[in-house]
Amino acid sequence: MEDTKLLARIAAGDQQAIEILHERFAPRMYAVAMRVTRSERLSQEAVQDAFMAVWQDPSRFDAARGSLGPWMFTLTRYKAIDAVRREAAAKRHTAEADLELYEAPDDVHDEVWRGLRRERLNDAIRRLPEDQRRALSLAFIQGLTHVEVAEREGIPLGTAKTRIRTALLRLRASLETDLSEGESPGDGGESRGIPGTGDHMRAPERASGRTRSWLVRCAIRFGSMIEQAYEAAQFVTALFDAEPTATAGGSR
Amino acid sequence: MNDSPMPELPQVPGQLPPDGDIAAPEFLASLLADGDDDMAAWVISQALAERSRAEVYDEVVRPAMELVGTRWQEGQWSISVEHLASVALTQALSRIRPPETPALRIGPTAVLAAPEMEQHVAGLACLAQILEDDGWHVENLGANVPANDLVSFIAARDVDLVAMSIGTADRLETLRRAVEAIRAAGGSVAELPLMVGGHGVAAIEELAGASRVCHSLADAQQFARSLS
Repeated sequence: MEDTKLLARIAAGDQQAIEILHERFAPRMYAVAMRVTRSERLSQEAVQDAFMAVWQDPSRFDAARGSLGPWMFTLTRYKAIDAVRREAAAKRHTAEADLELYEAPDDVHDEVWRGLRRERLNDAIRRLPEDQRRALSLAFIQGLTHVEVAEREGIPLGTAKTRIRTALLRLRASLETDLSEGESPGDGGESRGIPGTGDHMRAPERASGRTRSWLVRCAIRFGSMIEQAYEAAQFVTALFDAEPTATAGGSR
Repeated sequence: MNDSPMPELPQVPGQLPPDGDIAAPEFLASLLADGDDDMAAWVISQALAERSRAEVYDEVVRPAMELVGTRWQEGQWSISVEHLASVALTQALSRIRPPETPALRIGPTAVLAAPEMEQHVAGLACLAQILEDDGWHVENLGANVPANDLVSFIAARDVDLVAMSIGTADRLETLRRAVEAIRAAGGSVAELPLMVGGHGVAAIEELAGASRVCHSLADAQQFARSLS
């Protein structure tokens, strides 16, 4: 099928057309992305991003300026560079969060306790099914709305919400034991609130507030891609507030 | 704009072997215009896995550079971008240069040069590699070589072939003068095989004093091979 006809079908919302396009170009696009990122994960992301861009606005391709394949490769290269840029930014933030975490430990007990709970959170996140972990990351680490998560994943909005909500519920269940055990032996019980989130984000109880504050830091560390503490704070709030009908992250 | 949800697309199943279809001139042109010589070299090498160097340079690299020139002429890309593309191509070519072998040091010698005022030398760089692939020892003098100096250089060496290139037809006159100077040098220099090529000779079939007017790198390679 001719490029222009294929794109016209995509513009009309023909899902089979984008699948044909994927079959035709995805392997070569992946090779292009791999050359840029040297990372399988980032390359898969870049290819997905490129197809999403084509799906959303196929009119960006101008047949008068060349054929579709080279344009798709060029688009993929730009998406791959974006992915590398995002990754670098995330690493910077993680390094900053590390510094913050280790800057002024309250005491040895506190530090050890933090480490144990951080490990627990990371374990809980790692145990999540891949699709839920990805949805959670997109919502809370990359800061996408539910609609954007659905688009990025190519799934209905309801499925995106369900994945996020289920992930949060699973996380909370995993952490329940830890939270019910109370605070660390060295915990003075004073609430520090959540950095940069304002009073409304403070936990209602002193011990819980402290836990939340710690979780924010953990979330920053976990999310090797977290861009802002705000997303981390949202993550923790949603984690605590997740109910079977809740919509964590909001449908911004 | 498409508001309906995109279907779930499968993940790509890992890295594939080199694929020459990636090496499209338009893609290479965009890489060169971005100064991405690493990626440009990789793209060219994808094609080299399937085709000869002369074919790849004729069918991928040359059209890519012509596209860069077209975009510049049409005002879509600035002269700076065109220069960046030229530099990026030179760097890309250096990344995919044929491996140095002892035989290259004792092979027949080809001297490559662009005549006075001519700055386009990408074609010469491509030709140099094609000749090296065939075992030639290449001395590429690059851009803007005065005719008299070229004659002196050739006369002082044991040269088997001279190749000159121009990027635009408005350099035909300087090319003609350089060829005349070589032929007027007398002795063995005057008898040397001399081929001319480049975009600037596209419209001519013959040039007085030149052994061959080449319209492609494959053509130049064929002529060089006919000498050995």
